[in-house]
Amino acid sequence: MKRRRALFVHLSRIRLMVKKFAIVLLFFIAFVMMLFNKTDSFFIDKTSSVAANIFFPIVDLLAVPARVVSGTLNYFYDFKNIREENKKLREENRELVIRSSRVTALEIENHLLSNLLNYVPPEGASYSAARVVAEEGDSFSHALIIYTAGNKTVKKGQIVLSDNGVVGRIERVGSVYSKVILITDINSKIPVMIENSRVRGILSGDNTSVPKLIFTPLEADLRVGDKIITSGVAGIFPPGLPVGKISAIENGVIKIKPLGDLDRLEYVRIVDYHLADISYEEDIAQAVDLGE
Amino acid sequence: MREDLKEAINLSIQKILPFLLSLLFIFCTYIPSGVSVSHVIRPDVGMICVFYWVLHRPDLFNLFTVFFLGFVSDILSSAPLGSDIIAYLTIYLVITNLSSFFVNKSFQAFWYGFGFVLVLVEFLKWLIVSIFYTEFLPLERLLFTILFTIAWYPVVSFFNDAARKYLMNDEG
Repeated sequence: MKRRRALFVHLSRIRLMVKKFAIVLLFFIAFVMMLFNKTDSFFIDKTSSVAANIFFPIVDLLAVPARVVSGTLNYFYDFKNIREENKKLREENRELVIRSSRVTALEIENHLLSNLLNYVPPEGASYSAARVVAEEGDSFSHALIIYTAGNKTVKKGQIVLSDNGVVGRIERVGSVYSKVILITDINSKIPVMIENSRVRGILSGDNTSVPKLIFTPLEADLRVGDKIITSGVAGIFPPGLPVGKISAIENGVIKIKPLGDLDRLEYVRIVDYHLADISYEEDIAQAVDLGE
Repeated sequence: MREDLKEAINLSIQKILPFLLSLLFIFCTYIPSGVSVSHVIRPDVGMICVFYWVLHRPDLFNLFTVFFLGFVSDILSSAPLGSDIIAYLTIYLVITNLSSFFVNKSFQAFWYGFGFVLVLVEFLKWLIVSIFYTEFLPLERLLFTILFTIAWYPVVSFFNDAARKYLMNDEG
């Protein structure tokens, strides 16, 4: 009897040790995963991609009732504001007609000047639309998952737009779903310039809702309200896409308010700039060098 | 034979019910809601579920379940892979060592206890992710996430309670 009790105590001690060892082992695996993640390992990328293709269809399915409710509410909301919106659109249209004639004149002038300088224009961009499946943002990251099944033109590094402007870039391309890093995410770096002064810089996300503008010349004349557009430096994005406006300049830190509505995205547009297959990070490093 | 098989399936479902419920909660938080700030501040329901089930039914929510739930959460979020696993395992470690403290305590005590553990774990995660990015992440968002998660605790616990009662009834 005494021997059996001793054996039982011994076994429970072993079990406790195994449990403790398992905890340590699992913590170790988690840290190793983080290390692999830091080095942009192909293995981690592949695992994330495969797992995302398993889990996101479930989120997509669960989102159906939410989309129906939100669509119905939006329908009634739009109906309520339709008269006011109509009036606003008519005014806008009047202004645009005037501006359109000016743009045509400028286009002709531009064409003539380009011919004069033997200027070769960059290849035109094409656009494709994608539905937002999940919002991945939290305190530690800002991202979206979009449905891109069947779209062969989607590539890592391509820029993503909303109705109002740039919202992010493609970070990972899967067979069904792709991940978009928002411009507010800490990993986001986009070459931009001030629309009027043409001062260049890099828009750098910092996980707040207002990313920073970095690598701008010290003597640059920057003002709150200045519009920021993509610069097209390094040839990864088309130039001239609207990004945001300077919202504050405090202690040398320039904060940009994005024009794209990052919290109400249902559909986005992906810009295919017919890139050669070059690493996005290399291009940004090149753009940073140019900015400096 | 068929009855036996049915019972075995039923038993298996019961065993994984807490895990499935936790997964469902996590998936639901990633549905685009169109609500302002929903894309940056979301309740960390995975932490609520790990806290609840490790405390109430550790037999159905073991170490490997916690690890896998953390892995799923990492895949869904864009945070570095492994950060949620570390956070969930830390909750597991804290709760398994403090479970005696929660015996015969009221709901409020569980809620306060969860708040305390959440603050600890979220700051640990913030520190780890900040080291990962070699840059301190903004703290305001983290504080809102903590408050938001604490506010969601009674709602998630209500459903977890219902599932736990169902399991208890079924087990006789």
